[in-house]
Amino acid sequence: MLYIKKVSVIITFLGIVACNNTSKFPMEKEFICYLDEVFNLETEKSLYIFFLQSKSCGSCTNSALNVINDFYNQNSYPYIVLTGEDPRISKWLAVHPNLLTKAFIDTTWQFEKYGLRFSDHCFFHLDNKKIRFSAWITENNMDKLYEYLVKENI
Amino acid sequence: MNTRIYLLFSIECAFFLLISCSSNEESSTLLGTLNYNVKEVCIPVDSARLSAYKPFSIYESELDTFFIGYNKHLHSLDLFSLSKKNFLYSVFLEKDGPDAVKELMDILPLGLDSILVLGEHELCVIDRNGNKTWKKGINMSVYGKSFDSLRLYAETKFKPFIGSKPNILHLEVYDFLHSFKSREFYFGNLEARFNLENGRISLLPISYPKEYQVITGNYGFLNFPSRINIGDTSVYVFPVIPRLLVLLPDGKINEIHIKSRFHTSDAELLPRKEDDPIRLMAHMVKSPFYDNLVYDPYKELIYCFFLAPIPYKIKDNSFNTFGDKPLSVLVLDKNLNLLDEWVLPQKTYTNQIAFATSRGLYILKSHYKYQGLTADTLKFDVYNAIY
Repeated sequence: MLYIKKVSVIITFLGIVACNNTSKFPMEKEFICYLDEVFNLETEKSLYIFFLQSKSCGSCTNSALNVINDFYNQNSYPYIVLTGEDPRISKWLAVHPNLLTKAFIDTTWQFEKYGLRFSDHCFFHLDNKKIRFSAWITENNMDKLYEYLVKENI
Repeated sequence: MNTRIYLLFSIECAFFLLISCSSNEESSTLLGTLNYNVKEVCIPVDSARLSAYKPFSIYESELDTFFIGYNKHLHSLDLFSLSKKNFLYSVFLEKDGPDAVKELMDILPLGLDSILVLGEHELCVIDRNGNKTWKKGINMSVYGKSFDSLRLYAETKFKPFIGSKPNILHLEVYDFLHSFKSREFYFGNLEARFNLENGRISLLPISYPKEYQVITGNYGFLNFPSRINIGDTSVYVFPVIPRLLVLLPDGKINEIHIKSRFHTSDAELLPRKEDDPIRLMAHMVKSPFYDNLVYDPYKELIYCFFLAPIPYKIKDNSFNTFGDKPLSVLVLDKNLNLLDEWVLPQKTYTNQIAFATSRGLYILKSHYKYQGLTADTLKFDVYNAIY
């Protein structure tokens, strides 16, 4: 009986560790610092952020903009952080003026110093200076991302 | 993402993340065996022109040397005089109709009034009015057998080329049946010959070196070679491998070791299915990167640009990125003997936009962090080896 309890405790512990590992974004600390220090965003609050990499391939950027388009809402649209100038995204923002108030463009490449140059765009949900949810905006991840966005009623 | 998108992304990354800047006056190598001087060439441009062109090509006539670049905003080919240092005119390409040019991948000027254009499904020659004077569809049939997954390709690291046979165009080829993450991808042929008369395609016996064919992993985004041609001989360099593969006209392959003195650590293999966007980018920072080759037919020199490996993380909240990698250029003679390695200044050049004319090695000054980047000037530094 004692053996079964021990095994049960170990399995539960491993389960917790595994869950934490899969949900933890590796650059969480750096990303929060970046938003705090570069844009003075209130990261202790609940924030939805599309983190868009400039100069990504056209297909990737179109996918990201499609997602944002699908969840564009006048009242609760997410923040957009764009890493450097990108003509395609700037053009898109120009026809969505309401989004401009929540769009930040890192024109001085500060994101690179924080190790935030990725090969894909990413969506984040922050809460209380933690990343509650993150998903790369890639074909393989679309179901997961849409499911979350719907669940959060964005 | 499919393989083609990864290919495009790799190229884009490399294109936008390149290095170095320089003094504009007389200089000499650190090793001191091959001196050079460097001069800046500035070409004023109007607001419709670009500060970087990709793809691009060079055409040399008896009167002048022309830089021809694809202006994606205008869907035009912009022509510049390198000796007069001015913009000349644009060839506007059609977007619709029989003369439409779609998915332009690269250009090869045969003359100012006849520029060979490689699209995804068609090769054509356009005149200075943008009219097609010749065209041939690309049917991926090799030795009579159809291969739908094969794609002919060309870009700044692998320019189209016509050798001693005027009807044979050399292009790169990839088999997209396999993802670049799969081992099989690295066994495919890399170069194809396209017969301009009958459209037949044949494959040359060159593929990736054994380091790329291992079972245990791959090199992430560092996987697409650069090639130059010297006569009918092709010279290849692969991003993480410190040697050249030389494909001779008879099909034999020679290997020449050319290790940079800044090649302080080898690239690590990533897991075969690695798709983590953070680890992929970190891998590019930490790895050596033998980038593009340039052949100077006037001085019979070969240049190989090299981006040195650097640590990814420096300290808390402080990281290096690909754009921080130091840039140098290995200089070899026509027999592929390494003569010298020039250290180039940081964060100035887009080294993939580099070419040689009788004046020397031109390198475009359009690094994304280059402080001197302005929208009204196309800037090059010209390195002239004293040789």
